[in-house]
Amino acid sequence: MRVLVVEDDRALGLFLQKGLKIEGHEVEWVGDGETAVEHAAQHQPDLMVLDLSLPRLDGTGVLARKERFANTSILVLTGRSQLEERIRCLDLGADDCLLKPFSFHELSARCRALMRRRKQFESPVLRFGEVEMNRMERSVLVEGAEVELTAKEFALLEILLQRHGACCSRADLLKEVWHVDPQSDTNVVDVYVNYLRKKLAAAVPVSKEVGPPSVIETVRGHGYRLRSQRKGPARDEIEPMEWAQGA
Amino acid sequence: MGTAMNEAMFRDLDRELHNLCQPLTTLQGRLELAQIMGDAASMKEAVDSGVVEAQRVVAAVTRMRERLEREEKAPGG
Repeated sequence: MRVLVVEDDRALGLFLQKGLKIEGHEVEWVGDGETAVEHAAQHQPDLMVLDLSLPRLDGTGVLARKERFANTSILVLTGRSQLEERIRCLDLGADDCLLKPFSFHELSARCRALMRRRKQFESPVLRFGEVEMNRMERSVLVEGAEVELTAKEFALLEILLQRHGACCSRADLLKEVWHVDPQSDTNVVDVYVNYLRKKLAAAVPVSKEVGPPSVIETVRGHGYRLRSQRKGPARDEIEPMEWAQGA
Repeated sequence: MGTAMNEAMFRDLDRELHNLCQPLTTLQGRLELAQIMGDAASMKEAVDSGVVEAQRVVAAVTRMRERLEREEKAPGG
């Protein structure tokens, strides 16, 4: 699970990052609300662990901008025990609240519960731009045209669709699709991305009015992401998006 | 007057309580992580972090105590 920890207290932020990494999650830590919103909008993490007292933009301000990362579950951490504050957070879109000080075991269990809830309500259909995948039927449509994929191509596209246009590193793809060491010296990801690109592009004719069909875009030095169909020339490569640094 | 003073004290203590929660959470979590990991490096890290966080706890408690003493000495306190 990809987790974004938003906590301005350095010691606590580092501890949360380390603890959740030990639990097997991919964790980034940022120290203020503005950075959290930008980071979450760009990378669409599965879970945000959000402190309420933050510089630049406080936790409720982050929650108020949740439409920019609508698919991210949010666990709020608060040092204040007022019931009204917790109710406000839940009404603003938080999925759960935890009062400080707390046990790491409880935090970890609440994260697992949130993820179980996500999976339970997860739609079998993933969409991005012109690409639609039905995971129950194991089918893929591009602008209504069915595309035949192998199991690995399907798994690769599923990960990219789940990221909803956010970049996915080669290391992540290696780990999640091929279940091999992310540091492996192999070009299997690039090879399969090429297979997938050809199959997706072949499904839809290029239109002069709307530009190229949805493709997988290379993020130089980092990985790949899906690009939705749009006007204008296609770019083969774009600059990488760096994960923001914690305060 | 008394009500305004109580509100100010309430705000100050609420802030200090929040300040107290931060190191307590880190302290408890670091110790729990060390228990989970069980290796010497994690134990050392927990002890090192524990000393720092305990100092933050003491500082917050001292500020709360001073604030209460000020309130007691204030006219009508």
